[in-house]
Amino acid sequence: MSDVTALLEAIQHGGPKAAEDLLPLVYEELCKLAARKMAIEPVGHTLQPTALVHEAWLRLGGGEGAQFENRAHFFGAAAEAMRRILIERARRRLAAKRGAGAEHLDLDELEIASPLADDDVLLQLNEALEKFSAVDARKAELVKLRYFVGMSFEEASTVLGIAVPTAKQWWAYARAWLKVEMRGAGPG
Amino acid sequence: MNNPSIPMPSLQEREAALFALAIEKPVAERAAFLQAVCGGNAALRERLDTLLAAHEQPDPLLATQAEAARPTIKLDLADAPDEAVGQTLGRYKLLERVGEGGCGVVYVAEQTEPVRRRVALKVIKLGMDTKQVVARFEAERQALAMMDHPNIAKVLRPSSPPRSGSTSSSRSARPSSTRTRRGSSIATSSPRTSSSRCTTVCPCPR
Repeated sequence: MSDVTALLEAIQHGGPKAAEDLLPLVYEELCKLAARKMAIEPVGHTLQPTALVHEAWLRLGGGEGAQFENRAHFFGAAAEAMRRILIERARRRLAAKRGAGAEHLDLDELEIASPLADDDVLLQLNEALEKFSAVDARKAELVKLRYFVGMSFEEASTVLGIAVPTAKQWWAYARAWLKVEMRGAGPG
Repeated sequence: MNNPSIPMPSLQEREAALFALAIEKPVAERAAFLQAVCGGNAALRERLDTLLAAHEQPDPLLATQAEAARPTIKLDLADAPDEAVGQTLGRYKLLERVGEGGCGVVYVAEQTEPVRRRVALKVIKLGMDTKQVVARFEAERQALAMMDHPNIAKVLRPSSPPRSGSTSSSRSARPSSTRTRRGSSIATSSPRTSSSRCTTVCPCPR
């Protein structure tokens, strides 16, 4: 049994600590999986976050039969992990561009499709999302699932345990909120 | 009078709920609606106006992931848009996604060489290229190859992903594919014929 599976089970049995522990494990799992895949893909190939996350889920023994709670915890952690991976990479790329001599780390090797080509805008969006997360964590979670993992409304609503129309309402609100926030934050 | 046992919705929750109600209304009726629900709360009204204006604004930024979508061959995507369209798989450029079955997605694709032509391209979904599914593709290809009927797609060229070692793990965007030829009617009939129906229909013709 993988650490992740064990943790998911622990969470289900109400270990509050377990939820915190899940993120680094899922993060690591995604990075490892991505690295393995990059090693066998042709140069220039870009990994898709959705595919990556789903594959990680399958590899960890998830599937149709998996407990809803496990699914929700896993994808929640995966969305957060994916956000960090993409943001971290955007930051590092920007730093390198500005001549800050970014250290070379494994993550640079991972070509994972980012929702935005523009690193600056991605970071702005991320900042806005962090604020939004403090205001409305559940809706922010939906944004992460949709935006950083690329889930459809159907998938994301299953993970969050809400109805699809509700997910669409949340999304509309979150988008408007983020847009207003980003507009206020900078010249962009 | 508020019932103390029922927590008052926070300002945030109220704002989100009113926003959700407002966007359900036709634009012309929103002002009256907001007037009614906000009453004298000018700050709330202003905030909602701002959010609604942002909502109405076309915005490629946040629309990407949702409405315009990511390039992905997803595992269980329902009707999510597919950004694989426009990408190139080997010598095939994916033009349009036309169908989807349990384990594969069918695209109209343009073959660039050795000749330029339109083909239907069936691609096994990521994570689905297990031995079983690949075997099913192979069986389908065999069945198709045995048939000769204008309404049944012909297999032009199956291709399998190069495997490293014995892992059955998937390789995104380079999955097994079965290519079929159906001329101009490809987008409407052939993909459906070739993907889901053929596996079941194969013994019929011939």
